[in-house]
Amino acid sequence: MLKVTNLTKKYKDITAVDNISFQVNKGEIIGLLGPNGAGKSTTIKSIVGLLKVTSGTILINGKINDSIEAKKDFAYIPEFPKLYDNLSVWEHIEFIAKAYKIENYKDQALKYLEKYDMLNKKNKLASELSKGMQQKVSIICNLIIDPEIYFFDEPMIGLDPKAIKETKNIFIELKNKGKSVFISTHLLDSIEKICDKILIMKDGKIITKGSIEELKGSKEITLEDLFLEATDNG
Amino acid sequence: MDELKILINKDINQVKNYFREFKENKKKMLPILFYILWFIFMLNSQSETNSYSINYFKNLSFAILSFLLIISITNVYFERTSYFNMADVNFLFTAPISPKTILLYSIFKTSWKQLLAALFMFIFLSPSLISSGILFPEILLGVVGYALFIFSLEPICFIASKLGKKYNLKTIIIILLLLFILPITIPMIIKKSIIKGIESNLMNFIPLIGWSRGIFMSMFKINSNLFIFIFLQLSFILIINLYILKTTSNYFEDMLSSTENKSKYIENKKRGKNKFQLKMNFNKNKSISIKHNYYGSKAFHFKNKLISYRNDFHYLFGIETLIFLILSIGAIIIKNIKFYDYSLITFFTYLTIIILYIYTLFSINTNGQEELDMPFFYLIPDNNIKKIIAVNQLSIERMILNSLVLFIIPSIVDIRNILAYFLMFIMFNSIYIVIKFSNILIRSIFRKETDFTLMLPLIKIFQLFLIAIPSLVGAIIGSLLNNIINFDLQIVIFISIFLTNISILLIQLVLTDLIISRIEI
Repeated sequence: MLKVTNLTKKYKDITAVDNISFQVNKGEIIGLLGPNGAGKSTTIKSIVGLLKVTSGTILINGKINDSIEAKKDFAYIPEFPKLYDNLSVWEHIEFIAKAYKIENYKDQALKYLEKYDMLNKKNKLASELSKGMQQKVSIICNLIIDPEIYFFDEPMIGLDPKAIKETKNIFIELKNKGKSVFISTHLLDSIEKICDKILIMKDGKIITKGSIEELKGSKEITLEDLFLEATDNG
Repeated sequence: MDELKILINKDINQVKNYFREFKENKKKMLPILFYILWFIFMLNSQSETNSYSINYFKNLSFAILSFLLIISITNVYFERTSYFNMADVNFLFTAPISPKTILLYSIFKTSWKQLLAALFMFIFLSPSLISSGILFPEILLGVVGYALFIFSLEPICFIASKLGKKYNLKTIIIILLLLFILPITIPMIIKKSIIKGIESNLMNFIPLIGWSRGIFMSMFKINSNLFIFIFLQLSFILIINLYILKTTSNYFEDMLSSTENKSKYIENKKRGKNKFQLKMNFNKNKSISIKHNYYGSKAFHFKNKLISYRNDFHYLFGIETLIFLILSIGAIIIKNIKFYDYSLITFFTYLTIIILYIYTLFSINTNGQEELDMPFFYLIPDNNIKKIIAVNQLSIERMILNSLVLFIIPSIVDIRNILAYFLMFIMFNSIYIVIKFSNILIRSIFRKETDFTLMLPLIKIFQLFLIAIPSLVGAIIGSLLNNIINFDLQIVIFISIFLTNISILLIQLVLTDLIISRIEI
């Protein structure tokens, strides 16, 4: 589904992502963890083609990541979603449906609007929404695309507890439908129970990867302990 | 074609919603109404005037084109040149739409927006153009000149900011200046005069500004080179856009930081938070320690001192002090070479008015007012008036010293008017303080406005009332008193303005205190 090989991203003299390789298979939920400045957002932005990679290759469903064909296969939910101030919630959905050439999206969109308690905000302009609501719209817009893989950059920030729960349920739903989900976060407990595998980044490198069970081994520790141990903060 | 339709529909919906919003929020109509009234007023006042000379339009068009070019280069320098907003980054950059379609559409959209502003300007100018004997179809020629300039400018900025990411940005800016700004000095050098150089037909041969002005001026008299200018300008647009299409396959990363910068800039501008400050970051990485202890509201003064130490040579002196010194010495030198006929005191009175006018125009966006958006401003356990004073204390101290630099030299040179200079110094500072505190008052009244840019003209008028009315009252009182006490008129007026300002200042402080204690953030 996603194959990242020797990805390096440099900003002048700073190496933000340093020669990382990993793979995400169909129906997997992967958590990308790491302290602030570890290179998580740069990794995601490079994968979705917002940043040019310095070296390495990224293939999504076998297609080069920044090609138009690859773009049909993924959705990206940014850390700080910005909407068009003068478009309503529904108009955002319509716009995305058109951009991705999706026809039967209305029922799905209404279902997600209801899940996120946004049905009554359907005709509100983006400028009238709170940050959390804008985050919900951004998630809904990307869910209706129904691609093969989803990239979430810190999706829980700004969401209320109910929305966090719904988002986690949606991750499971997507996995059950055979979709892949790639989540970058530093809110460890929000993904501990749902991730199949985790990647821990530090200073631009992947320092640990594998399933949570594999990494815990026989130790009775939490994901937080595991993370702190791996990043030498514990 | 489908892709283009999607992008166009998105923008049509946005425009529709923008106007639909007026129904929901009638308050948003206020600035628009103000602009319409202002426009009608300007139309009427211009239709009463007689025709303008051709040189007037030559200079005007040159000034406008140069201004636009300089603003665009400044935006490239501050990495704010972007055709996109953050919503485009989030939705369009990752959508399966050809990046070239997105780019070309966005360049066109940006140019079109600017063109709309230009059309507005032409409508605004049309009465004076018509009164100068220009027919409506000829005005269209002017619009073409302007439009071609705009359509050249945007792609240049795009290429420059893209190259600035790859190579040294400063080098790119220097190249831009060498290519488009430096050549405009050639006619000035040949004609040995700035004005004659601008008015000369040689200027029309300078790339971009010259070509566009050549087309623009054909409104008045068809220039024999008109078609050459149009051809050059069109070829330039064609070549530069072909270059973009050919070389730009992946521009997303290059546009990412510029779009973020632009979004922040626009956001701050809308909220009236863009600062107009002359700072040099002299002690950027130096550790700074402030000796005195500042507690309670004085903490704001402490913070401002720290920032001032970091930005300037000294916390009390900076670039502004140097400018005031240059102005003061310069005024005396040019007086001595008989450049102007006024007396030195009259010249300094005009200079004072101009400086205060500039401060009034720009001070709305200086620091001080931004504290009102910070929760700690309200939470610090101290009196509101003390807080407002502490927030402004340093700028006032600095201005007192700066104005001392401005007035001390003329008062020595022109010693018989020393009292007048002293009173002017006092009056200058009292008006400055009124401006400073009126900013806080205005920001506390208009703090919920979502679009500060639109509200700015209204706010400025309100502020001018706050400043001008007391001065006017002071001047009237001064003239009346003069009949009774028979003293130098100028001096009596200065004293009256000063005293009126002090009373206005006290009223402002009390009002601001009342408003601030009711603010909810």
